[in-house]
Amino acid sequence: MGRVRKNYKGMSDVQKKNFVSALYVLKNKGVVDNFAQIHAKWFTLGIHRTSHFLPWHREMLYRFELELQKVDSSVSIPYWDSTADNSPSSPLWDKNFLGQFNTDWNLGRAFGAAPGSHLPTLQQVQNNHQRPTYNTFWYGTDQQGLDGLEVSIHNPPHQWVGGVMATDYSPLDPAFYLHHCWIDMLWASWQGSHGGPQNFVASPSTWRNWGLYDPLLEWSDRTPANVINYHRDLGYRYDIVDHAMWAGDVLYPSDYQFSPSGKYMLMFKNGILGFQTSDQKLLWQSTQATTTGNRCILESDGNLAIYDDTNNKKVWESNTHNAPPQFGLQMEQHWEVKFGIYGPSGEPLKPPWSRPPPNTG
Amino acid sequence: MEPQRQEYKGHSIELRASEGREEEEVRARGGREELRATEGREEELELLIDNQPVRYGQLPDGRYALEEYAYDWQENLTDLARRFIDYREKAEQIRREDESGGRE
Repeated sequence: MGRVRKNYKGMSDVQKKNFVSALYVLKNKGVVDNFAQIHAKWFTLGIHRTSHFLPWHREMLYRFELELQKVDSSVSIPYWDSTADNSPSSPLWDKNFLGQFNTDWNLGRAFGAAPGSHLPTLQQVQNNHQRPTYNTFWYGTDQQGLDGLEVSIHNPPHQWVGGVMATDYSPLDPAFYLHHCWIDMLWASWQGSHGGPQNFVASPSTWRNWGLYDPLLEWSDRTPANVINYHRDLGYRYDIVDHAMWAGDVLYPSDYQFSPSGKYMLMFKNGILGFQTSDQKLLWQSTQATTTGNRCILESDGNLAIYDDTNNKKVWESNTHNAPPQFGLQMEQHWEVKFGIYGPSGEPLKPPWSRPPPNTG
Repeated sequence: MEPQRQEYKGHSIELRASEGREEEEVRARGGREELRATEGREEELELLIDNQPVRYGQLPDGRYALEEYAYDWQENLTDLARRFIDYREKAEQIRREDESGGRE
């Protein structure tokens, strides 16, 4: 558990290969088709145009990601930011990534075919992020609900890709998952800056006014309340939205996570955990020399450790134990660099573990 | 919406009474949860383009979506059918160009 979801552009070639391989396995097992069928079944019945649009798709992606992880535990769903990555010649559609599925899975993509086809702009996303309430965020500010996240940002990429992606069976196209991962990240980002996870309200009462504790279609034992706190309850986090590692959170090779200001980042590469500026200036690293470590985890007692899972060996650890409840590995506090493990109110461990200095170990 | 028939760019678009198709199908599937979710829907019309049925649904806000063209939500089903015809033709043209250009 505790994996990072990141922009597909930040994936290494190995990560892309693992993700693609896991998708083929799920296709052969019928899992991809099953998820598409569920989506089509409920398409017009309340998973769109109600307040459950975002939580329902969050639950769906979470379940699909668990299926991927049964195949390869290091895989997480990456996201496609269609405001920045807006060309059919983008690496997203390369033959070694999503491009191969077009012929292999007969997806019939037809980029830009829909009338008035376009992708959302950064300006639209930024304006939408400023919306003060959940309804205005996902639905919009006008009565028609045409300027909110769902219609103005979520719908266009479906239409722009075309083919199966433009149908109610859109989860047959892997692009669905990368697109919806981005939509989920936009919600996560909005949640982080608008009153936290409690900012959820039912749809306008003239429609299905399903709220926080109403069951999700298909998964009636689940409600939006189960998915609101995605980092805590679903165990994933986003590279640019979630800035701390919590107990159980993991970094796999080539995974990274940015600080709140975006000036600093954690990077796990070549078996080394590094804390660096976003322009790659190294401030601290776990070891000088490359290790065989392939999993970095913040353990439940506060110990930060790097394991070589192929040999079941621990190759490095911070030796920090007895952490207070709700501790986390932080990179900044009050917008100032402060890399270390801290309690929920910013109190350091006893003895403290904060780096730098020294800049190794 | 009243039954109607019209031509658009050489294609026929027809709306006619459907005789409760959707509810029958849902009952046949035993979908109690689905019936709950479809409560209060308008009586359905069947949509045909070039005499072929085109499946569609109505979203909770009353807008229409086609199963094969699901993310363009319109208040008027005939307008939506026209947009679908435009999309289908452009998509076919793009796919032909991609095939001749050898793009994956």
